[in-house]
Amino acid sequence: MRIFFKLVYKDALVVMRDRGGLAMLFIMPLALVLLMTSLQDATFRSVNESGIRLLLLNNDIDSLGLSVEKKMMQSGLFRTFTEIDDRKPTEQEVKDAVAAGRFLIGVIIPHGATQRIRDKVSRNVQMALSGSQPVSGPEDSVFLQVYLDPTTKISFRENLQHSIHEFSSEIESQIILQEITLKINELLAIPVYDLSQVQEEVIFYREEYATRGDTGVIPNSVQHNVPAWTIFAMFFIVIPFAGAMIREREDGSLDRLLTMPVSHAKILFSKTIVFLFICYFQFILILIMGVYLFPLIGLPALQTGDNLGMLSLMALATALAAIGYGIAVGTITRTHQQASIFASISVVILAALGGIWVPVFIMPAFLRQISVVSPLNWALNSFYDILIRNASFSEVFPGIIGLCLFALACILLALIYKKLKWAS
Amino acid sequence: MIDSDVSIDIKDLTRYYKGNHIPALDQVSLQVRKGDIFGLLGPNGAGKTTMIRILCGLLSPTNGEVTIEGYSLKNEKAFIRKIIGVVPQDIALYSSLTARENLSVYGGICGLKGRFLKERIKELLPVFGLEKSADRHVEHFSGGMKRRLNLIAGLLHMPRILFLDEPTVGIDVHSRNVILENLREINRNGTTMVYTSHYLEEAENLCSYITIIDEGRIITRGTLAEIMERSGSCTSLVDVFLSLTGKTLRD
Ligand SMILES: Nc1ncnc2c1ncn2[C@@H]1O[C@H](COP(=O)(O)OP(=O)(O)OP(=O)(O)O)[C@@H](O)[C@H]1O
Ligand SMILES: [Mg+2]
Repeated sequence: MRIFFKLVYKDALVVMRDRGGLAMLFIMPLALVLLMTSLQDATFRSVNESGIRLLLLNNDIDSLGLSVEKKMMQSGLFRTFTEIDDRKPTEQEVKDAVAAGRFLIGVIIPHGATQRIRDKVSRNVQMALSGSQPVSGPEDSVFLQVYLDPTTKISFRENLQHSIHEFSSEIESQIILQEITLKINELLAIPVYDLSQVQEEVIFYREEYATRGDTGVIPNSVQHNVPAWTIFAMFFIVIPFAGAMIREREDGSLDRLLTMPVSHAKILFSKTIVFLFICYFQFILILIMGVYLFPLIGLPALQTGDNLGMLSLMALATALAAIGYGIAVGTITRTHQQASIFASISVVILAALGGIWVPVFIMPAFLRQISVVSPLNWALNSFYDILIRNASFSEVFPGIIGLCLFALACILLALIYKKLKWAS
Repeated sequence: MIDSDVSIDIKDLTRYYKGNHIPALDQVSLQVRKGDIFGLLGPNGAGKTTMIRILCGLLSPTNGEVTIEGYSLKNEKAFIRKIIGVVPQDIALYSSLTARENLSVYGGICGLKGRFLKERIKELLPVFGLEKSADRHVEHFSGGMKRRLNLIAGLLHMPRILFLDEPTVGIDVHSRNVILENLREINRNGTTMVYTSHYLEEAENLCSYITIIDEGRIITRGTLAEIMERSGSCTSLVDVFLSLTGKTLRD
């Protein structure tokens, strides 16, 4: 035990002597969280307060066109315009106005869109009644043309496309069901319950931000961004950790230690303890910043509720996963440079996959499926569970276990790699 | 088989490195007696460092057996680590730590504690001329100073067996003599030493038993007197080496 303390003393001393590195370990994450939260908060507010400028050209003037127009006018998300310079624009003018940045989105409902749906429905219904052909559901938004300002951020654009798509296909399917009901009633002369009533309300992506119960936790950019960027910053501990391993190996100190009565496992465990402490300290600093500094600079304060214990546990589990990854990187890469390039790129990839940059739910389906491989995703979900959904310990527990298992898997990988190398 | 006089027993030690079909050590068998200063001499690439690294458990041999103080190197490495000290050829120190901190870490890990550890560091630093630099960071040390600290780190805990891989390279003549005198003193107190060097004169003076290897094989061995006697006309180890291998050693 005394020997182990000596190792911890040594690792702590080495970390502390590297003043520049230490400053980066604490200042960079704080700066990152502050910057990203402020940026996103600004976007979030401008969208919330002023709405997204949308230009709607409704050439249909029938069920589809009218209901789209009505929905859009009602929507808090969009500020909908139907005229430019006090008159109805042409299709080309809509495109031009969006391209010129006057509107973020242009939506054109083409002439006869509703009629086309009706025709399709009646064809389908007739086929369905006469043979085995099933009634086809609403297809992709073939009826609407949507133009987006090309300069909008990709993530934002995907967000919009997603909601407009949901929006219009919802209305389409409602109309289709209505038309089917009509058609069937016409043909059968037995009244059928209006199927369109079965449909649920339009689902916005913003549903994801819903809170549970009356915990008073209001979803805002702070509750989202603080955990996301904290996890991201924490995973960057991989670089100094792997760096410390590699430096010790390169300068021969590791070899010297290995001729002494101390095991390799202890040498690594000592580093793990020191870096866990660093990560935890990072986390506490970020929390303090979120709770006390944010309100001073006009951001909403981070609300931790009475979840500090669970948050701490999550932070430690996340740090452990990052350190496990660091052990694997530090074992497998040979030089400091290799380690930092590999680690930073892979962490950015895992972060992107894990939903740190762009929420997972607006990713394309196949990416959404891969996102579950990212430990950052597990960490993020568990943090959201705590900070936004006020989840109980048993709901967060699987995330914690997952992160610990990830760390374990990384260490195993490192061990196997070493065994193979030693054997040759 | 177990001779109570023998400290290190090496049998048919062979080591191949990956991608090299010529062995770095080729079926070397030798014994180091307790209390000896065993000189392992040879030119660059002879296999000296390979031998030392195997003996201190950092490298596994391709073939062969080693026992140290009766412990099998293969199966009882943990015991062996408690009784050996190593001064590696490449300096192994934490450069951001001070001399004293380095010694405190290494000494502590070797089992020295508290007051005794502090005293021991205080005692050794002046012996190797580092008392004035005790609290300076090692990264600001000169090459020779690092080497001297590297040496202290290996013998601080008074190991039963001390491996020294070219401990005096790059150290000025005066300091070198001080160091050699101290090594003799440590040896007189009962530490067995395995010592590699290019400096043959140094080895002549220091070592009680000498083995010269080249290309992984032993080319001659014995006490200095025995080697000289066998070699006939030679007047120094340098001559012996030249006559046996046709090579000269770098110095
Ligand atoms: N890590 C390694 N990988 C491959 N070959 C190696 C390795 N280390 C040493 N060798 C080879 O093994 C042989 C013996 O090397 P070793 O370092 O034991 O020599 P040495 O006697 O210590 O030399 P020097 O006097 O230069 O320190 C050399 O031919 C060297 O090329
Ligand atoms: Mg060598």
